[in-house]
Amino acid sequence: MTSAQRKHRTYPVLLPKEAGLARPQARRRPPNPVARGLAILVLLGAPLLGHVWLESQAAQAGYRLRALRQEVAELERERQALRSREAALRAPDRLERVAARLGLHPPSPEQLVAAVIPADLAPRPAAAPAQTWWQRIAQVFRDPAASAAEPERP
Amino acid sequence: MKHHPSSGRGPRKGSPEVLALSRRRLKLLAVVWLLSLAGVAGRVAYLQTAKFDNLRQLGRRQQVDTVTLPASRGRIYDRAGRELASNVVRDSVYAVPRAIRDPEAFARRVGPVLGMDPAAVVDRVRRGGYFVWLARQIPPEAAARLRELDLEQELGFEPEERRVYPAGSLAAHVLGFTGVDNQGLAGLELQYEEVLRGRPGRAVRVRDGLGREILEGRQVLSPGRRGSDLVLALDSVIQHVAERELERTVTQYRARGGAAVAMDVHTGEVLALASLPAFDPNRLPENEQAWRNRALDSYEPGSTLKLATVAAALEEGVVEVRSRFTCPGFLRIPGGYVIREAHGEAHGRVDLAGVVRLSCNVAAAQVGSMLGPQRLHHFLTRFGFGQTTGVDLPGESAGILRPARQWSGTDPYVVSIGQGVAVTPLQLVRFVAAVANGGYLVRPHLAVAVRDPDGGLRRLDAGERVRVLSPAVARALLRMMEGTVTDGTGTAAAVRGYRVAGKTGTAQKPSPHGGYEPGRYVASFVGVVPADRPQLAIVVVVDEPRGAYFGGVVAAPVFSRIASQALWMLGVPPSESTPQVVRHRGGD
Repeated sequence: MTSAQRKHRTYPVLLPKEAGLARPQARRRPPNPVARGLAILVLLGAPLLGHVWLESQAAQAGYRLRALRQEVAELERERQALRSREAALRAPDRLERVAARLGLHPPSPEQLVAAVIPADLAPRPAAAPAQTWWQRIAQVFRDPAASAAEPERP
Repeated sequence: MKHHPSSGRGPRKGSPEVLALSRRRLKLLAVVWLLSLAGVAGRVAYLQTAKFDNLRQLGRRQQVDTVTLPASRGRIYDRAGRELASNVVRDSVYAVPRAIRDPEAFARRVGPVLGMDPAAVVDRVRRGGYFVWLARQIPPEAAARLRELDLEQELGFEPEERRVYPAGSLAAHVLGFTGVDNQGLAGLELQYEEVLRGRPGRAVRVRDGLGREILEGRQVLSPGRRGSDLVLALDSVIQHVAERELERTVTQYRARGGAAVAMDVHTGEVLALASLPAFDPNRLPENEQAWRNRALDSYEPGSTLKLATVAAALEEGVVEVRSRFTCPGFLRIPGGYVIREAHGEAHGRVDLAGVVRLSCNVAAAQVGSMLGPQRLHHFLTRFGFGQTTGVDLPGESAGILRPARQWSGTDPYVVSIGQGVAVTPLQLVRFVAAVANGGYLVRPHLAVAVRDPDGGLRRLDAGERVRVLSPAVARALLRMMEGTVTDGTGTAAAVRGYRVAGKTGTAQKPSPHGGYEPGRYVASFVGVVPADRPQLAIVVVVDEPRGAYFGGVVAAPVFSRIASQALWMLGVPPSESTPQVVRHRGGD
């Protein structure tokens, strides 16, 4: 062997795709039927489950609503009964019996005196207290319709 | 058939023969299956096409129906806002006959709780179907006991409103009552049915196979609107006073009944209207006589009608205040009859005020004869007799006032003293109110306002005032009526501290066979207080009192007691000066 003998060198070359050169493709495995079934089950079942869940939520809400309605009806029923009971307790006949038991009687005519009060001595309604600056400013911004709608307080 | 040589039992499993047999069987099964499916499909197709309409209707009838949602009935308040009629919710119980297997056993458990005869329960259950009422609006305790029976399939509960009258029998004849379906049947409940009942709603109800309602399936088609509330002129306290005082007298004199009405003379507002015997509208009595409102019933008034005779004569000018009459104690009238004084006494010379003060029959008959049938009839009609007053209560009597052309020669005499004519207590108090207010006839009324469900208050029309007397005649007559209380037949009607004007009446009761019933009287008093500033007109009528029977003895004290308490309640100041009352007559 001489020194002029050239040594082998390997160079990477990119070759065009050729049928003959391509590596034989690996044979595709048939899909796993279990996995496929599971996938179909999930795809079909998820919306169904979602629908069932929503339905059950709606039913639960319906039950709660029904219970609350029932409670409102019960409270209304109780309010009416109490109101009727109050009216019965305030009936003149009963009040008179209770008053008589306590020794109370209507005044006799001799106990009644017609008192004539001169106009200048008649009680006058108390004057409203003076408003502060803050109250005046607040009044400007207050909705007059809203305050008119407020119920009168005894 | 081939047999396997080794086993000798038949073809071997998996052999062609077995496979062929299985295939044949499978084919047979498939055919049967397909035929069955085809049958089902055919039946479905038949039901869904040919029988579709019929079955749909049948299903709807069984499962879906339209129900009425009852509207809450409006309440009734007195003038001070006290509740006189309201509602409470009670359970009504129904049975589901289809779900009851043993009606006898069911009835034995349910009947005693409902206070029903088990046989009656069985009768109802045997009617079949999905729904039959067992009891309406039962007490809460009974409903609780029924729920404990654990009959969810067989029993159902439906909440319903029940009308209640918290003050019991107070103003029962005014308020009236309702039926089990909350419809007005009497009194104001009937009169103002349109106002009180509201507008019922409608809903579609879905029921399950056993006929029970599926609550989630209910759809409201139109919501109901609750009834409006009624606000009355009536004052509960004055009403109570009137009832209490009337009852005390009816009991004392063992009378058959009585009536009392207190009315505002200027407006016609009825502050109290009592009628005895009373009843509790929460528990209706079987005796329908108790339902009669005697304030609206007619009776022969007797001497109280002399006020109208005198008023007519003064208005017509046939007599003057100073006119004088002679009373020998009796008066022969056409037809051979004789009019006598109540006590048989002769009043001698009496003026027109004396006619009223002493309740002189002879002089009043003379005044009536001076007027004559036409004019007397005309004025009685003008004063509101012989016709309804227009009060807002059902069943008002018009009284009896025959047309003048039917009057005989005796009628001007007897009608002028209150015989041969029938009036109602309400007509009488209305006329006296006209005397007190200066001559105006007002319309008696109980309801003054309607409050809508949204809170709006609408005042009701009180009606027109019609002048029937001149102010001078009204004033003069009122002064004469004062004499009745200060020095006449009605001194027991006096109210300490106040001037009172009035007139007594004692009338024999007519017999259905003609003539009068011996020993049967109606005692009455009608008056105004305070006479110097008239506020109230009050009439008291007591039917068939025993023992005493004169109006001045029986009815006048009731007037006094009602008036004194009503004036205090209304805050009417006492009169500035009151005349001395001279008590020396037994009354008329």
